[in-house]
Amino acid sequence: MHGYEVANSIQRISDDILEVEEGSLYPALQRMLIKGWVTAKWGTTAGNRRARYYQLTAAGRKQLDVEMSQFERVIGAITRVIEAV
Amino acid sequence: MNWLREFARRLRMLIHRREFDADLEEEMRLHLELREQEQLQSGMTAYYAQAAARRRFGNATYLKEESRIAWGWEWFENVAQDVRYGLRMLRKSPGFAVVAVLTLAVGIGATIAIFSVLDGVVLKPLSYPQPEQLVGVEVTPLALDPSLRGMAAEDYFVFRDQSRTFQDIGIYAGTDTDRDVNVTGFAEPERVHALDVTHGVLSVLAIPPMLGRIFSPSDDSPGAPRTAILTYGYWQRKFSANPSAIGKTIIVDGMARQIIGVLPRNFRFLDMQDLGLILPLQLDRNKTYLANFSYFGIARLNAGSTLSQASADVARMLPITLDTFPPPPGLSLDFLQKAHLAPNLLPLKQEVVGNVGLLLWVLMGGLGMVLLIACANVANLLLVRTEGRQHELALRAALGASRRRIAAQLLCESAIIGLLGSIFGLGVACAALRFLVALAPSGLPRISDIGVNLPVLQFTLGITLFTTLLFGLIPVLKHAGVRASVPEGGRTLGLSRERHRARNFLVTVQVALALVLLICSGLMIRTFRVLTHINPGFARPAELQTFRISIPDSDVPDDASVPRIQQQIQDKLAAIPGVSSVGFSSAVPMDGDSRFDNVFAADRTYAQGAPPPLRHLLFVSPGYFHTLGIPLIAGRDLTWADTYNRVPVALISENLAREYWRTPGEALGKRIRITTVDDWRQIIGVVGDVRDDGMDKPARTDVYWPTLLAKFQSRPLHAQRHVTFVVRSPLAGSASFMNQIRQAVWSVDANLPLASVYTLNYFYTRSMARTSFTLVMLGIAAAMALLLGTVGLYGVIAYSVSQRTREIGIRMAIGAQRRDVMSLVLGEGMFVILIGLGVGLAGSLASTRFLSSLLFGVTATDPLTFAGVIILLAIIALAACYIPARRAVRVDPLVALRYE
Repeated sequence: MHGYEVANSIQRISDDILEVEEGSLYPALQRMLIKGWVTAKWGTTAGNRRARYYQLTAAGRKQLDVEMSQFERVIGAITRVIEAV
Repeated sequence: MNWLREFARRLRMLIHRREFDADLEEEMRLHLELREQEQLQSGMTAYYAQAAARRRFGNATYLKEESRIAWGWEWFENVAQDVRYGLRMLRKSPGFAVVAVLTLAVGIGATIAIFSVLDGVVLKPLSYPQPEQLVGVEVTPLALDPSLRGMAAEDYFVFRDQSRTFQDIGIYAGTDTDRDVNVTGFAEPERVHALDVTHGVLSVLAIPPMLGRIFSPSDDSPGAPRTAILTYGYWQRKFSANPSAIGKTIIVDGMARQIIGVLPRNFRFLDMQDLGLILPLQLDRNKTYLANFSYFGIARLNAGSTLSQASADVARMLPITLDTFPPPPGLSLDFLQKAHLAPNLLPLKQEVVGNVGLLLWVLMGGLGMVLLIACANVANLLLVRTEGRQHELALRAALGASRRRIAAQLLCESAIIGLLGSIFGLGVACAALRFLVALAPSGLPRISDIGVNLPVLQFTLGITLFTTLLFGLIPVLKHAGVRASVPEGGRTLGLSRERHRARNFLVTVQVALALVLLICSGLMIRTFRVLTHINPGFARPAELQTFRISIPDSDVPDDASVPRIQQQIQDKLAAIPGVSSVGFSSAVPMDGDSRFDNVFAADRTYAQGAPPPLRHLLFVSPGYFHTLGIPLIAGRDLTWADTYNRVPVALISENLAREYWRTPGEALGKRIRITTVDDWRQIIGVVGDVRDDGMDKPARTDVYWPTLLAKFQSRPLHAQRHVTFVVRSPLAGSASFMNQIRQAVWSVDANLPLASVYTLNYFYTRSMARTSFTLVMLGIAAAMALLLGTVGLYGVIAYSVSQRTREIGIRMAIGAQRRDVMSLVLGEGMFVILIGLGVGLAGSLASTRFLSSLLFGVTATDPLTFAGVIILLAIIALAACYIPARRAVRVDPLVALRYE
């Protein structure tokens, strides 16, 4: 997917609840590029425009798992604290 | 490995920066356009669609910057940008750039030059393997004269066999011109510098020969076939670097020797110049008598031994030498024991370098001060410049530049100046080195080791960093934190006193340092004056031509004939037109001769075995004293009759006469002799003292003998074969005169080469070379300091006046007279100068003590010098303030008030 599509899919999948400042995607994507978690390739969109397509790498997937489990641990903790209240 | 791949990715971005920017730009533009289209489709107008898209996107410029920063090359791009900007700014003000860079180049260059000398002479280790293990081994007769050191054969034998701390030891024979050997068998006879060594000497130094072999113990045995080793230079010169030289024979002093080896090209024996041959010392153990201290020793310590252990070991072995070998006839064992022979071991490097180290450190300190003054000047210049950029810096800060960023930029500009100053400084240093080496006192050891090599370059780098930080940080500290609001139109009331503090401080430092250097120079000047005004004992040395002649045994085997030949030469020389007198002697003043011996006086009793003091011995011809201008105080000179008839007579110097017999007249007729079995010799004359050791040391006590003596030092006949001729003529020193002399000598004996051709003035100036060298160097440093300091002071005052033009105009408009303005400006200057002088005075009092071993006739805190220099500097500094003060006075109030 290219940057615009990523922004749109985030919005769509989260049912418009998550509205990110779209531009901040790009520095984030750059950081992931540096770390080797995504690769980028220039291609053409449906509307015949030149766009850069990003793809998750194996290392990226691993990092995603790490972040996911981290995130779930935090959410679990917060939930437990709230339930205890 | 991941980090390696990551670094590779980052590196790729650095190389393709522009492409990266373009890609990101295109990406973001696409995003914005797609969002805009979407907004258009939902019914917005074009203008609002674009605005909405932009709003949702965020700050594109900021995001682009953030993306770039993520890749981690921001620092690099900042530095590149600062450098480009700095270069541009320097190009725009070439005057400032040239002055700053030149000031730095001079300061840094001088410091690098003196460091090169210091490194080559003092700091660099000797160029032998493991040089820290090498020691010079000598013995000192503490009770006779603690300044003498030497080795004798018996010490060598005993130390070699019984030492516990030496890996290997050897002794070598002193190599003054007398040691020059006559090498014949080639086209013409030549006198060659030679070195006599025992086999241990070369193996101690551990330099393997380039060809052939070095001496083995068998070469040292008396009666073994005679061998010789060539130095590389001699081999190249005489044998055209032909390897077949090994095995060939050369005739040295009439004896055939076989060449067994050639030493490598870069081999140097300690500090000896122009060494040609190395010959084995064939010492015969059975014929060794004690106390012939004609050699020097060198040894390599064992891996675990220290110098003090070796000293203790030698102290242990010295009594053994006295037990193992017999004393020479005429000298008692008791006498030798009372002489208190003691070990005198030094690291070999120290023996080579001597005490020139202090001198070099003093010079280093002096030139370091010049560097500091130069830095202060450049810092002042930078401060002024940065002050002029207040507006620009405030603008940058307002736009969001962090303090660090501004500081980095200012430092970068300083770094450019520092780097340029360094590069030119290196050039200045190379030129200065050539000048220094040419000027250096002859006898500066290890001169060939001086050059711009790795430690010097490392030092250059260090100095550059140090000076750049020094003058670069000052404007940074003052201006990097400017957060003041941008003044509109830049209107100022004139600088408040606060702003001047940094610059005034710098100028104070400059004045103080300049004072210290000037006082040191002043002290050296006075020392030099004192030295040159001391009566050396002889007259008009520039008119005295000297040269050395050796009449070898092989040429004239009969000792009794030697003086006849010498007299013939003397007569031939006297016949040359323009020559007023001629004489010869075993040595001339200050030529480094060191022939001493104990002299007994007949009418004094000596406690059993207690030795009489050592006296300097010379063998002179009739007419020698007259030629040199040494006054005859009592009695008469030698005659040729005395010499040929071997009449037992002698002359002594006035100080010896007074020491023993109260007045010179009373010394006449008294008898003296060398050993306890020689004939007594009668004193027939007393001559004036001669300052043989240099002007700064007391005159030696001399005893003069004829050149032919019977029963002298236990030998039946002694003829002085090595003599220095002295010829007084106004033409002394010219080549044509020397040609005439050569003709005269060769008309008597065509085989005699002339060596050591100098005027006596050469020895005289050489004895003061250390003082004059220090004087010149400190003088140059002081002159540079004075120039830089004065310019710096002038600059600060002039700038302050130009900043205060408006204020001065107002003052004059409301009634200030010219002298009020003058005193205003001068007052500010005087304040700075006085504090600078005060600090400088304190600094001088503290630091001139380091100079005291170089001073003579002047104390390190000589009030006259101090007062004189302070007054001089005050006057010059005031003059520097006066010029801008006059300009201030000429300010037209109307113009000043209108001036913005």
